[in-house]
Formats: sequence, C-alpha cells, structure tokens
Amino acid sequence: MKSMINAKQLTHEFFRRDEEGNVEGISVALDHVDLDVAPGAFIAILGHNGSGKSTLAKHINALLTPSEGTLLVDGMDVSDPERTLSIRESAGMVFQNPDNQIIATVVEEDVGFGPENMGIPTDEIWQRVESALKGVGMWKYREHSPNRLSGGQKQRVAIAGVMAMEPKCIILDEPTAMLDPGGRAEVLQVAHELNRKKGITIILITHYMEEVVDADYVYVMEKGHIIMDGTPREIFSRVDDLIAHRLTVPQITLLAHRLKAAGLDIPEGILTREELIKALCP
Amino acid sequence: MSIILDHVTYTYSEKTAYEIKALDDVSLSIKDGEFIGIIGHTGSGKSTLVQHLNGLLRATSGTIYYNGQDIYDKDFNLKNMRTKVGMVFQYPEHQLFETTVFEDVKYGPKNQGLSDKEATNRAYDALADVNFPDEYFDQSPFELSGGQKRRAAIAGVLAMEPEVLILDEPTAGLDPKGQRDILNLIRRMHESSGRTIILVSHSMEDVAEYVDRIIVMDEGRVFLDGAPDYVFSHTDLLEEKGLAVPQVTYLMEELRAKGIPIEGQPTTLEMAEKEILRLHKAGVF
Repeated sequence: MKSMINAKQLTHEFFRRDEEGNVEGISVALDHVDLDVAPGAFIAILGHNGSGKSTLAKHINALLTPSEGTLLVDGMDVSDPERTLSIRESAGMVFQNPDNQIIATVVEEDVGFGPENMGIPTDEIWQRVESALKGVGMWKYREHSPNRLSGGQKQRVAIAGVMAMEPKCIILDEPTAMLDPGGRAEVLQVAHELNRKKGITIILITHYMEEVVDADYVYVMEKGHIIMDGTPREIFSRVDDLIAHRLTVPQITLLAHRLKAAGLDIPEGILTREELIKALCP
Repeated sequence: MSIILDHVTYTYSEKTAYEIKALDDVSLSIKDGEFIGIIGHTGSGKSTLVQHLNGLLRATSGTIYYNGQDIYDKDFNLKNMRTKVGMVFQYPEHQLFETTVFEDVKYGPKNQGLSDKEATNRAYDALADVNFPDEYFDQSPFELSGGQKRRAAIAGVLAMEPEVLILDEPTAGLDPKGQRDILNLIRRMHESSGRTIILVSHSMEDVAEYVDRIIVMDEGRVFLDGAPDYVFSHTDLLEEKGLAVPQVTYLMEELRAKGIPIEGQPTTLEMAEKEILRLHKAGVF
C-alpha cells in the first residue's frame, strides 16, 4: 500500500559555525530514522525537549531537508525542490507558537489566506473558512483582529488556517501547549474528526500523555532515534521505561501501575478511567 | 504582608466598539506566605489579574492595597513595589539577553541600585536556589536547554528577592520531567522562604498537587475560591467554564456513583491511591 509518509534512514545534521563561518561542531538531530505512516492514520510522537520530534516534523513539510536518507511525503521526495510547494499543500503544519503563524488583520482573512494562495474560487474559500472556524470554535470571532485574541484563541485560528487548505496530512507540533483543558479537548476533538470524517492523516507531537491515548500508533523519540513504537497500550504498559526517558504516562495509567505494585489485581497498560473502574469492580 | 484587591475592574479599549471588561469587580485578599493557583480558560482574566498585582496594569476602577497602602496613591513607590512582587512571565527565556547566565541574573539586582558585590552575591544565591549547575554560569543563556533557560530566567527574578513571586504558566512547553522539576523547585522555594507564591496554570493536576488555595477566574470575575478539595468538588460548574477536575477526581466520583464508599474528595494521585488501598484493605475491591 502507498504510504503517506515514508522515512528511510532519515538523518539530519545541524552545523554549528563560529563568527567566520568555520564549522565548530555537528549535532545530529535525526539519526537514521525509519518510519512509515499509512494514509488516514492518527500518529503521535512523544519525546522530551530536544529529542528530534520537531526536526522530524519540519522535514514532513519540507522546511528542512535530509542530510542523508530519504523522506517521501505522499510519494514526493522532500529533497526535490520542485516538489516543495506540492508537499506543503499535502502536508500542513501547525506550530507551537501561533504568534508566528498569523498574518492577517482579521481572523477570517487569516484563515482564508492559505486557500486563496492556492487559487481556490472565492465561494469555496468562504465555505472552507466557515467550516474551519466553526471546527475550532472561533466562528464568533471571525471579524475580530487576531491581535486581540488570547494565545489559545490564536492557536485555534492557526489550526483553522491549515484546515482551510484541506491538506491530506496535518502535522501538529505541540498545538495545545498553551491551551486550557476545554481548548485542548476541542483541538484534539477537531483533529480526530478531521481524521475520521475526512481521512486526513494526523501527526500529533505532544507532551500531554492523555492526548496520545486515542492515537492509532505512537513513536517515542530520544536523541534523534525512535526508541519505542507501538500502540498507546503497548507504550503505556512500559511506565518505568518512559519515566527513565524523562516522560510520563497518563495520571490514570500511573495510578493503575501503582495500585498493581501495591498488590491489587489490575492489568498493565490501563489507559482510561473506564478501564480502571472495570478492573476494580469487575 | 498582604495584597488586597478592592472592587477592581479593568476595561480594555474603554468607550470603543472593542470594549472588554477583562476584570469585573474583583475583590480578593492574598495573605503572606500563601501558595495560590489561578486557573481559568484562555481569556478568563488570569493574566490581567496577575499583571495588576505588581502594578503593570492600572485598574480602571477600584484599588489595590499592598501591605495596607493604596498602590495608586501618588506618593506610593510603584517601582519599588515591582521589585517586591516578582513576575515570571510566560516563556520567560525570551527575556534572557545578557552574554552570560551570570550577568543576566545580576541585571535585576543591579537595576535595583545594589552594588556590584551585592548583586553578585544575589546572583549566586538565586542560581543556587534554582539548582543551576555552576559549570554553566559563564555560558551564553541561548545555548542552554529549555529547562535550564527557564531556571536561569526564574533566577533572574529571584535575585531581586521578591516578597511575592508570580509565575504565569511556568511549565508551558517543557517536557514532563522538566515540568516536574520546575514545580518541585517552586514548592521548595515556598517551603524554605515562606514567600507568597502565585501560580497561573492550565493543569488541574498540577494545581491540585501543589497549591493550598485555588482561585478560578471566569469572564473577569472570581468564580470559585478555596482549597483544592472544595474547588474540585464543583465538577459540573468547572466543565461549564471550559475547565476540568483532575483525572483522579473524575475517577473517584465515578466510583462513588457506582456505590463505592469513597471518603473525602481526593484530588491528587497520592490521595486516590491511599483511598483505593484503604478500600482494598477493607475488602471493597
């Protein structure tokens, strides 16, 4: 089957240079990474700060290109400069900081900027803007200035801007880092809906373990390597491994793990409250 | 030492089409040595509230008393108060600017008018308080990891020896271990110095675990104010406002709904673990 994203031995090196441009050192941000994502999958990538997650994400929409190895996005090689624009239309990216992604002076114009740039007819642009803004719960702010929104609201506008381009794949790089629980749940729900209803491939990079529970597959990165991969249940069964890698597990998983250690008859890899309640009161 | 807000209202863009009441008749009293968490959905007024506490924003109406003195009185030394009420902003590492970590931390006390020697001592103490490794003192702050940068930025505020420390989402963007380290650091500072700490957070689990009192903001008003077990006993109200209770609190409520005799209102992992183990010993599970 064709893959949405296929990385073979993907490597990325950053060169550190002194003031005269001489190379002082080389750091390897991605070290021979192999990864394959099927179209329509919901993938999560975990890893601590500096593990290489964001560097990987930036390759997927050709903001960075491999030093070695190959990365194909929807069958297109990110190293081929002629494909850069097509790749960016296929794979939309939402960054951590919404302030760097909002450009227009009115919310609805910001969301319409992407599709307009792609040459979409005006009527359809407005339909897309409406559905994207409603999708992120920002429709009532459509005529506001983005400058007057809070950080969380700006992030939702940024996500709407990518959604309006209707890409095949959306990469969300810690999209909820600044949102409140309601906003976080809303963004996650939007991501899952786009995945389920429109078959958009989602790559979610996050620090919130709770957000990973509903993904199809999880990759854990450290020092540019993929050190663990599996379904959420497989990953979260390895509580002690994750903690050793500066990560954690959802609060409920940790509680279940501790109760099991204290002698209660509970399976490993409990992900949700429902599962824990079932294990406690069979 | 106390901060009292008396009917404080703050209006953005007053008398224009964009007029928004970011704070609406807020009255609060913050006592010396309290560890307070402020929660609320985005745009609820949390950041506006804390920016009033050190005089960065001036109330449209109402007043604030710092240690009994009206901070809007023309004889009140607002500049002096700002060094007493230290503020660590969101992503504080964006404000690092000196050539070395040590110089960056010294900048605050030097600006307070302290001698170079005193400022140096303050910088040593502040960096020690945040467990900053001394081999990095002379490094450029821009070459540090995310967690280290944040520590350096917090040290820069601590070096001014504030009586009250306000932290606006100090763990945003850090990985789980980095988050835990920063929160444990804040707890230690509270325990050792007894200074008042005000923590703005989006994490219900974090405030449940660390603070003694939670203030919930909504539409510029104080919506709930009390100990974590009191605040988190209002699940429905909090959800209506785009907030939540800690995962373990939901769990315990759901168990209670199934007829399990849960005692109290567990809000942290430790409390839930203890309660389930107690029930296990009693033969309920």
